[in-house]
Amino acid sequence: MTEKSEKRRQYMFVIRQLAKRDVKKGNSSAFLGQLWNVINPFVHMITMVIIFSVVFDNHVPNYPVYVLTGTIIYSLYNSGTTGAMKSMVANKNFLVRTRIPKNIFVFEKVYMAFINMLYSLIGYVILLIVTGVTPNPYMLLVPLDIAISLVLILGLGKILAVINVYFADIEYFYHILMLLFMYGSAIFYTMDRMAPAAQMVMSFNPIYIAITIARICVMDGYAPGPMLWVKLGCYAGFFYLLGSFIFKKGTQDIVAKL
Amino acid sequence: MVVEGGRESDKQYINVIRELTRREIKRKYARSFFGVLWSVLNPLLYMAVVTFVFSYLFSREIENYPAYYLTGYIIFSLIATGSTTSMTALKDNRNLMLKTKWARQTFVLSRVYTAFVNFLLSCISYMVVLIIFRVNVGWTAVFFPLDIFFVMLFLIGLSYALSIWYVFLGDAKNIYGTILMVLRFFSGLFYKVDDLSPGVKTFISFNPFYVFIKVARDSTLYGKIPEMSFLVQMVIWSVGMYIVGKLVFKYKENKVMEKI
Repeated sequence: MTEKSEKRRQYMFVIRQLAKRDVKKGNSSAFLGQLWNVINPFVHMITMVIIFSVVFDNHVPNYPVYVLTGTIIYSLYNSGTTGAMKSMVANKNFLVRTRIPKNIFVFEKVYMAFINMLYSLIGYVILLIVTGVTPNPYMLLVPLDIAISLVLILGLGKILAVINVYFADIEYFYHILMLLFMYGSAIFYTMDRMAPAAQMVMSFNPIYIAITIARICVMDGYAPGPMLWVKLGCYAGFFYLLGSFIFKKGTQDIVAKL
Repeated sequence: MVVEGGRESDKQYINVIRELTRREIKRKYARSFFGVLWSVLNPLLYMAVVTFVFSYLFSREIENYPAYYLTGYIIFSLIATGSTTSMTALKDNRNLMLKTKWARQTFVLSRVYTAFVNFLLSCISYMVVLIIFRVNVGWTAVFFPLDIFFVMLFLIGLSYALSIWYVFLGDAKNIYGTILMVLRFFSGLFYKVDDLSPGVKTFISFNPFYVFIKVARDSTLYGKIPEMSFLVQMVIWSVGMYIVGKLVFKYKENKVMEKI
């Protein structure tokens, strides 16, 4: 038991080291460094609010918070899965030379996405205060929403990482798919603008579900219905198991392939 | 400068750019199965997704939406990818710069050239789309290559300036990335600019990205001679940017080596 926890601590250390390297690589010479993680989602939100309230003529109460909630969660999914997808290929040298368990590399990318999300939450909290959103107990459910999402992202990331080793073009396909999800997750519009059939399809979109849960907790202040949780939980469970299975199968002779 | 006038050295100069570009493209598609084909496919896939979203899900009415979007997309991508990749050109090629005596512009120009090759490939999909959606391309389409010429001039100037800026300020990449993200939404890529409120509309009409896109759309899709005000803006933006970029590069170039 103690040996196991010792191992776990070691892995956590490796993940942190790798994450540190990634942060350095991304912002090596930037003076403002990590602050960009706070600035970027904020500017993005402002732009989206201006453009989409003009183009789509949206009348959503507290549109800025509505949009930023969506953007932050979408970014978590997008950067988590995309990072994980590239994790094995990018750490080729490490993988071949060391005996670190391979899923550490996938973990690390999801961890990175999570940390980046925490940074963007700074701007989010400020926005909540400025727009006068009153704190309510249901906000405490948001971490649960994020936790389930992370499990799902991890599962998806594992699958993508394996595919990427054998079929590099997945990166291009996935990019397009995420673009579709960006428009299909009701980030900047409300569902009722869409045809009933489209609404039906969207209610099965896990990113949309995760965003909806967060919006209900933060903006509407009541407990999201059980169906939302069940759906999201099923996605997470299913893809986590599938991901772990594929990862196990797929990584057996991966070193040779790399 | 090291490489000085004369036909022979001009040829050499171009050869180096070509060689660097080849390397760049190869690296980009090194592991990919479809390889360079992605440069043709990608714009089409983007177009398909955005068209699906905006004309079916939101039923926005823009005549010939696929071609409308694609015109904007390929021009925006040319400038955006060209300038973003050029920005890091000097820093990325630090070793080559120390070892060889090639003119420093070479590294920037090769990135611009790579983006241009990519653009030409995406023009294949553009032409296919124009034919499929039966766009009547008239004589006014001669403005299209002219427009692209000015886009390139603008891009080269911009790239010169950005590559120097990045050497001196690491945050430049983040700043420019953010500006680009904002401008992407304000370039009239996927919506009709006429629908916007006057304030936003005025702002957009001074955005160089939009100016270039507008000239291309008017001349190619609508068979019109582009409005004079946009033609004038097009020339001013590109010539102005080219001169600024060139000057920045000339005066700061020598300091770059110390800094790097």
